[in-house]
Amino acid sequence: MENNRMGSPPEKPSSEASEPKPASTQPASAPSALRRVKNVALTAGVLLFLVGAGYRTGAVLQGRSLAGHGATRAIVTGASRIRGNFQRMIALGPGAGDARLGMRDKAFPQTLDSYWVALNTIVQHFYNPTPITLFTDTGRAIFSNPQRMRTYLTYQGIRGIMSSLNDPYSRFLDPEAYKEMQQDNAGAFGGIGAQLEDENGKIIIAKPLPDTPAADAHLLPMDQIIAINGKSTHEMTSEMAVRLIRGKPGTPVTLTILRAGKQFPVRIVRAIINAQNFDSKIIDGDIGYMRLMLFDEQAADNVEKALEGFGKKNVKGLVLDLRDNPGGLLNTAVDLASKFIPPGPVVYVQERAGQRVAIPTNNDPRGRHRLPLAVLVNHYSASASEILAGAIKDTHSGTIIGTTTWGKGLVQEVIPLNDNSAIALTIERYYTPSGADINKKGITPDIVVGRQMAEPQSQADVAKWLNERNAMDKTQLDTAVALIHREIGDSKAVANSGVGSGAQATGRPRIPPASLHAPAGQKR
Amino acid sequence: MRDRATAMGFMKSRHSQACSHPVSGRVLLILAMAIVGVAAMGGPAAAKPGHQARSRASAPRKVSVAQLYANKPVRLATADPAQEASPMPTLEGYWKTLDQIRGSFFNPDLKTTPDPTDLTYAAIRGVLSSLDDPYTRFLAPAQYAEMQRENRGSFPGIGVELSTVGTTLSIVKVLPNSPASAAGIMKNDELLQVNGASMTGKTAEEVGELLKGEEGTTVALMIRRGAKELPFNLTRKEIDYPHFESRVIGGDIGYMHLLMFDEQAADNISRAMDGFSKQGVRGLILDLRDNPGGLVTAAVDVASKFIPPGTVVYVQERAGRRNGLPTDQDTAVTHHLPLVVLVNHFSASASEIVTGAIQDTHSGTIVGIRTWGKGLVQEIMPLNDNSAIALTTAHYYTPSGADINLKGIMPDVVVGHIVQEPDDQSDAAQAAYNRERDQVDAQQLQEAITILKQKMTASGPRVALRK
Repeated sequence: MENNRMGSPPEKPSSEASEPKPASTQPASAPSALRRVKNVALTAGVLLFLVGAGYRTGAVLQGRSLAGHGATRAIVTGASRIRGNFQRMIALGPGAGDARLGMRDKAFPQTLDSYWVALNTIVQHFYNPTPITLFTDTGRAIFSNPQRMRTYLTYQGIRGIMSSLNDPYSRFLDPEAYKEMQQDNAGAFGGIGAQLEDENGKIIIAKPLPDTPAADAHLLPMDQIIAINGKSTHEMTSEMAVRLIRGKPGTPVTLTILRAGKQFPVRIVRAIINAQNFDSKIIDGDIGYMRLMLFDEQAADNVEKALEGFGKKNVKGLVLDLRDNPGGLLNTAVDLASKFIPPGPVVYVQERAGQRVAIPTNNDPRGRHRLPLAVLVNHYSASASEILAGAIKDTHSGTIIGTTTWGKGLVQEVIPLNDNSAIALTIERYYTPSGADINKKGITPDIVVGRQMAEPQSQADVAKWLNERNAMDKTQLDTAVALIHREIGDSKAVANSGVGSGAQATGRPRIPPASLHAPAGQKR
Repeated sequence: MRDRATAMGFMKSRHSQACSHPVSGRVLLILAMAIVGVAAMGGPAAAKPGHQARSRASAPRKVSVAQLYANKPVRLATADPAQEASPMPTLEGYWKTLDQIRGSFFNPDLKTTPDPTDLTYAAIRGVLSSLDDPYTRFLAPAQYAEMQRENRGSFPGIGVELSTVGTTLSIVKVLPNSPASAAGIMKNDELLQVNGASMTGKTAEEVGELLKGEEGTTVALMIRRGAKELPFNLTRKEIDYPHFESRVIGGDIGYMHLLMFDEQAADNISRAMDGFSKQGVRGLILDLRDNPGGLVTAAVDVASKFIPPGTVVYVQERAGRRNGLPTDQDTAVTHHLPLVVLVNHFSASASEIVTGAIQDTHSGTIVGIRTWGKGLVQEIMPLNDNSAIALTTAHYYTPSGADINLKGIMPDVVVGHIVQEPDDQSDAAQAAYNRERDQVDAQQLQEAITILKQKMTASGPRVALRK
């Protein structure tokens, strides 16, 4: 539903994207475990398919200092140098590689050679008379340039490597995908502020967002975009259109709009657009409701602002809605958890051959003065959502309501390669504060309300599916509201006993809500 | 049937001759593997297992290789960075990916770290599959070694074919003049042990690997025959693949069945034709049915025996001109006998080069059904660890300039049809399939004989004239 927001990210120094920062640029105050964690991306890559848009991915690593990186990079700066070193290394025999190239394996030179020879053979000699992907106009341009050809092929090669790992979360990000991931993580980008849709091969404006250049230019829902800067959108997907429309804030983009049979150009100057991954409101008079759709860099600030607003309005309890939230940055999850749980570990992470390392809360004073809290989750709450929900559940700081979560207990690091592409690589597993491994299991809510719904199979099923989905979402929210009222001793709790009906709806045994909540009460 | 493998071995000296061609830093050109290529696509390759199931001794082999054209300039796929500006960004991405995986990748389901060689193979497979070409593919060391043996046409081994039936590992064929036949190993013997190790649970392919070895080395087998267990000690020797057979039909027709264009193909045909001339043969049948192709050089040499001096095939590379490959003067046509060529849907690649040359030069009558349609040439390019890539590098055209890719060659006389591969693997379905295949094959051969006899009657004077 919020696919294809337009805009491009605020300009980032390109060096940041392409080169890992030296360790010295890390915040000196960060404890070492945290410093590493800050560099870690956490995402449910699988959800990309479900959400249908490339942007719902995880986070960016700003640079992790691994032994050997520096050496490798130093060597690779010059073509002749690496080749020369490589040759010499072979001459020097096994072991020389480690010292000279910062490699972990002496087997690497041989594989490097195999790969390089294979690549060059293709570039020089491959012949195919049939019009394959590579031989579109773009393909021909690539094919006629050996360097671009090698880059193209290497992307395919790295994809091949990643898929051989049998890990759905480890994947290659080409420069476009990586840039989109960075924009998503930033939670803001340069654009015009309109949501686009594909409709029967047409690019349609689904909604101009309020207070954006798109709204100022009086774009309307159902306007069809037939050209962008004069380039026809014929056979373009909405994702491709979004890429063209996004750009540096302050620069103009001209859309050719078709509205009610009339065609006219609209010139719009791009601005910084917030991604709107968060919204909040007060419901039922004294309950603060917050919906987080992605753990981006702005999430903690957004939540803090909302909590401040709630404080002024004398809110007595909170509902945190993590449904359909595929995750995001690990450190954002930690920052958010620090507002909802008492000081202590948020999560334990463990590398391949490493110890479990606790990542603690960050001394947020809100962690010591908490309101009654209900957390809404569903099957598509994944990754960072599960870290946060797990921490809240295990510390009895709130009640988890909804359906069992996705079950992604693995952490990816996003490692930039040298040309603005990157790999997302699974490097750690994590455990909730009680030591639970939720991978492939998910978190079972304290109160199960609703059921996991299969995707609609046909267009005809969509309306029915949406109705059921909306009804379930409402039942879950009602359950949370009723629970909070009960906890704060509000009289509405009796009248609005959604807890019981929700639990019954799933066919599960009815659990007395009081016993579920005793621990939370004690802690307070 | 997939499990059937020929017990084979490996001879170092011949291997090096065949694979690292002394002239070329990069190695040999190949052709054909239509069948294998299609296997990957799930197409007619599926026909193969069923067909191999037939009792015919010489099931067509999968792969093929090509030799460097004699007159082809040596091209080295260099990794010379001076050739291109800054190759390093490309290499660095690959390198760093490997390094990160080795250093940090964590998969709770895996006990070991991914092997860098496997990762590189995965990368090369990824690169090659992005080219969308069914004939371009990666050959792991074992596959490459097998291809080299295929192209050589022989292998050091003991001369048995194995098959797993249920959990039983049986010998389904003993090749004549092999160490196995000399020692008295028989069809349907059950193989229990190799060099003292139990073979229980192993596939025919795995056992085939164990039976390989250098010529002159020995291997000890334990065989069960009926109730008895018998030990055998065999010395490996070079065994020819059953890629060729010939016989005289009806007193004066020389029949040659070529199942693969290996290095021995032209010699085998020469030898057969020498024999035919002593037996008063007056017409020839060249059977190329189910022949998936092989070496380009073998195709040129074979064609040279049947067509007048001239061009066998035109080859064109990506940025190159059409280059004619001429008939080989040393093996040029020495007979003027009427010729019929039998082809079917599985005649591919080198088979199509020969068929096209014979058809375009009116040197024989093509009988059967439309051929496969593989008009592309692959080169085999060895990498530094005994793996290799097979890369499509050229298109070829028949002497008349026809492009047969994806089209095939239409026979002069169409006889028979494509026999549909059965969907289910039941014995009954396989038997029905084999029966129909045999019927079509017999029908085509009968028609070839009829046509040839007409030509033999009619061509008497013409032969005289040509002389």
